[in-house]
Amino acid sequence: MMNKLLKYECLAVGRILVPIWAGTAVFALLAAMIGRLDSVLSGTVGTPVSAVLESFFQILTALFLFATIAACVVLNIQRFYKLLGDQGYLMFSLPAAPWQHMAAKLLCACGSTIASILICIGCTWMANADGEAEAAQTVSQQFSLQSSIGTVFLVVQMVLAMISAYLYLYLCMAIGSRWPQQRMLASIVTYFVLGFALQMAFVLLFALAAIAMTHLPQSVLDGWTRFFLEMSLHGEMVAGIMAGSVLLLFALADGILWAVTHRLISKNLNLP
Amino acid sequence: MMQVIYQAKGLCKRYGHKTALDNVNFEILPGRLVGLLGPNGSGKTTLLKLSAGLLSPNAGQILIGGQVPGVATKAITSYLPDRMALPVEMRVDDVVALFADFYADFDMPKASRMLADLKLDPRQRIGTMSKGTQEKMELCLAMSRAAKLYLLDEPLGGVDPAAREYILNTILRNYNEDAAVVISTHLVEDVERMLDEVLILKEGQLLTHRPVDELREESGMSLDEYFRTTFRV
Repeated sequence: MMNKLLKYECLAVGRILVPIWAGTAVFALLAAMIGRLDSVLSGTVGTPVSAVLESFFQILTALFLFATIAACVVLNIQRFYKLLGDQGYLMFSLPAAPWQHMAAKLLCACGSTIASILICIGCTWMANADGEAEAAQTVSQQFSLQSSIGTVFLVVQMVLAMISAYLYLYLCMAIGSRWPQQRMLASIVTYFVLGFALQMAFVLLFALAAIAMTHLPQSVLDGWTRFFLEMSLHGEMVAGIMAGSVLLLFALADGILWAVTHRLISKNLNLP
Repeated sequence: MMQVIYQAKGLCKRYGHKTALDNVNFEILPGRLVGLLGPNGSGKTTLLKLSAGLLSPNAGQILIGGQVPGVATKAITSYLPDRMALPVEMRVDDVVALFADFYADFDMPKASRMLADLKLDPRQRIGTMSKGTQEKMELCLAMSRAAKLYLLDEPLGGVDPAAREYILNTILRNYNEDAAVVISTHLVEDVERMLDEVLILKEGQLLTHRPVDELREESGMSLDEYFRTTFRV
């Protein structure tokens, strides 16, 4: 069932996103071609015309790049919102468990977002053909500074952060769907109120931790200071621990967001 | 002895402080056409949503083929909601393929025949159809399954008399005869001739559940008259 849900989800998302991806690629290609023409005609009468055209297509490409990411995010939000609306009567009648619906939507959302980002990066390189070599060099330099494990950490962290972002949006929509009317407004209000409440909760938590630390015996504080000074001599290990902690935090947040949203759509589903 | 296909035991559902269903108990045998009747707000849609697994009860339980509503019961239950739930951006053949993919009991030739009768172009988008055609298509898809239980929520709601006749004929000609059919409606007169049993809900409670012939004999009234008399304000 999961594969089938994923297939229909990808088809529905692809129907809208593929033409946008294609449009972006076409404009990037045109910008690159005119850029090449401009460099060939350098110093001749054609230069101003080709330079204007190149700028025009580069602006169009930039607009398409923005539209690609925006359309991808909006479309994936809309797909989940529809699941909690009239389409839910069809989808939740299918012989599939609620977690499978959620997982299919989430996998498709993350997959299409990653694909959109990769296409945008590719198009940016294509449109900016002159700076391509320079950009490639900069990126390779950046990556060579980090170990391959560090790069993997960074990528995993970005994926987990993206999952968190989508799951947070799903949770807000699931809470918003509890309202009998004005569900979209309720979802938007939930997004801001819940976000603010979580921020305040973390600030309070850190403040309480700081206050608690002032009450610790001096010997404990001295011990910690020695520990951190010692750790500072092992920069890579500290970086590894920090990166691991961040991954664990994201994974924990993802787990909590998933569990609460799943509970809402399985036990407390409230279709209009 | 024939095994019960549907069983509601002490079923209760509340929305906040409002009780939608209050201790509802009944059983349905296979092969029966059951009318689920009651005025607005009596709990008909809630009962069908609970049966389709779209809601969870506060107390009591429903058993369909001996199982609580879930993935297994959804595979043997054909549910027609009281609204258009098909994705408007999809084409006719996409939705048919979706049903064929997810339901093992979906009869593709039957669906194609029924949709051809409606003169629907397989490449037509659902969003471009009239509301009436969308509802008919939804009904055709629901009735193209060889399900063990059909739950039809207001299939006659908001359609003209000619469409009503089409809908009733579609139900009668296409349901699996070993299955039970539950039809919720206000339009008692239209469905009276086809029903074997009637379930009448009043303010969330089961007022009566009995064969239609028995009710007619005992009350000396048609089902429509009985309904009007019971719910006269």
